[in-house]
Amino acid sequence: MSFLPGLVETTAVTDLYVDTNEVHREKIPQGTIWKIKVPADSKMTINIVSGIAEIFGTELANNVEYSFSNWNFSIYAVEEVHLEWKGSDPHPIVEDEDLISNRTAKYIYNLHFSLDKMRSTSFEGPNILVIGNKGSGKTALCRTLSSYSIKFKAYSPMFVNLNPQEAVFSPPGCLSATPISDILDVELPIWGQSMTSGATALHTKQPILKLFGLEMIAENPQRYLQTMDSLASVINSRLEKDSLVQRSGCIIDTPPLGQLSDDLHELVHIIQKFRINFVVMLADVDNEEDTATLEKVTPLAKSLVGDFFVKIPRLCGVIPSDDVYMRSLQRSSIREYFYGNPGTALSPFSLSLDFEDLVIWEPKNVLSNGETAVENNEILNLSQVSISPSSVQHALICITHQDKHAKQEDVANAAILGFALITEVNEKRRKMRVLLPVPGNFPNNACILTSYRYLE
Amino acid sequence: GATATQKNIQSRNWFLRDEEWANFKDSIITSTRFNSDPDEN
Ligand SMILES: Nc1ncnc2c1ncn2[C@@H]1O[C@H](COP(=O)(O)OP(=O)(O)OP(=O)(O)O)[C@@H](O)[C@H]1O
Ligand SMILES: [Mg+2]
Repeated sequence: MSFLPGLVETTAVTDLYVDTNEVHREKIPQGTIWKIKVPADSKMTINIVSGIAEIFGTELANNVEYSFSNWNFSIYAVEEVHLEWKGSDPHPIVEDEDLISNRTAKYIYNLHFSLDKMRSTSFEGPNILVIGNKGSGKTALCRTLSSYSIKFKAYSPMFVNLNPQEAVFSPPGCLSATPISDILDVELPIWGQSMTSGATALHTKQPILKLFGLEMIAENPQRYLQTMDSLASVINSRLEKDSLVQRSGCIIDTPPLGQLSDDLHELVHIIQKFRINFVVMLADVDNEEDTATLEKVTPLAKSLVGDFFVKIPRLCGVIPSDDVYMRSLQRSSIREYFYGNPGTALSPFSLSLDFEDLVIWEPKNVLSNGETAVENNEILNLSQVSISPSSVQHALICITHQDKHAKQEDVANAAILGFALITEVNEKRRKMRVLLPVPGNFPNNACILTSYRYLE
Repeated sequence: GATATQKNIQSRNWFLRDEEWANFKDSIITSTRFNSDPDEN
């Protein structure tokens, strides 16, 4: 066979072609979730023929083709669902346990009804904090609660993301807050699109972002707290002016508890700054890591919110993920920021800049070796980046709202104007190519380097 | 060649300043979802 290259080639092409277009049918019994993994290099489309199907709380329309790529998610059949799917990966499902009974749906409904009750009895809505160990389902729970909050009544909860490694309505490296005033985009891991120049198929969202810039909180815990404080203060001024959002309350997602300090002082800080009055912890009693964490968290949470600390099991739909998957999600969120998604293509703008045109600052990373120990009183200072291929090539940089010549302490917590991508650095000519989301000149503003890189 | 998304090509907006965002009302955001204009579909 190997002597007949033509034939081998044809077979390969045919295989791929047939798999992509073959329509598969699936029945999902009522109350069951169908777990799906769509790898980065493949695509899947799903068409709900009949029944009520939800993705993280958002209902799918019948007879509409939804496309998915690079995402682990699940479809929950509220009522028996018949669907058709096509895909370049013949086995997108999680083998052996793809169809499981949704044992934790009732906990999510109960939480939702408690939130609803709090909203109807007070002008200051519930501010719910979701905590748990890595991969326990925190983000999935927040997304589902956000969806349910707008599904039956005209509420507009504020979703707050305090996990800088997670990208929701934004590239990674940020803490963010987004009022959810219309349905979430079921096709996107980043929940939906942030504002663009025109009307889009789905209502876009208007987030406020604060840049942490690093990956792990431990790389600069003080900067993490500072970033959180500036987010909390702008959220509070929005809530004062927006009675609908205030009444709807905040739904707050957090980094895995293992990323916080041993004494959990970040948790206390969050509960105070965001005026949390409801804490939910996702934990399993037969999981050793969870019981250990629960023991530490319980007295602390009880002392702050009393009976409004509840524990529910880890969500039963979770799909274990690793660093490779996390990075691929971060990459797609950066791509989405510049190029858009299958529903809305965006056209980024490429321009050439001299090294001298850019002022780039960088937050201190106390874990990075090779750097001299950082004095405690300097940990919040930014340092100026000297531009070279090794320091900024392929880097995602944040453009702040501060002037290029602003003092570094003003830049450190500046509001975010947007992001740029440094695609090429030419040291000899002292020039670089930069991708901007908005056409025009590069803003005359100070920039901050993030730890995130994107190679096209 | 022409693609299905071509008519939809647009660019992203810059993010708002803190005060602008604090004063922003989401009710002014539009989507084409409820647009009955036949040219849009
Ligand atoms: N029905 C479901 N419920 C919860 N998670 C689900 C479900 N279906 C799929 N998943 C997947 O399980 C994974 C873990 O869930 P999730 O991201 O919500 O956990 P997490 O606690 O936020 O994790 P991390 O600590 O890394 O932030 C995700 O990839 C998610 O998409
Ligand atoms: Mg998460």
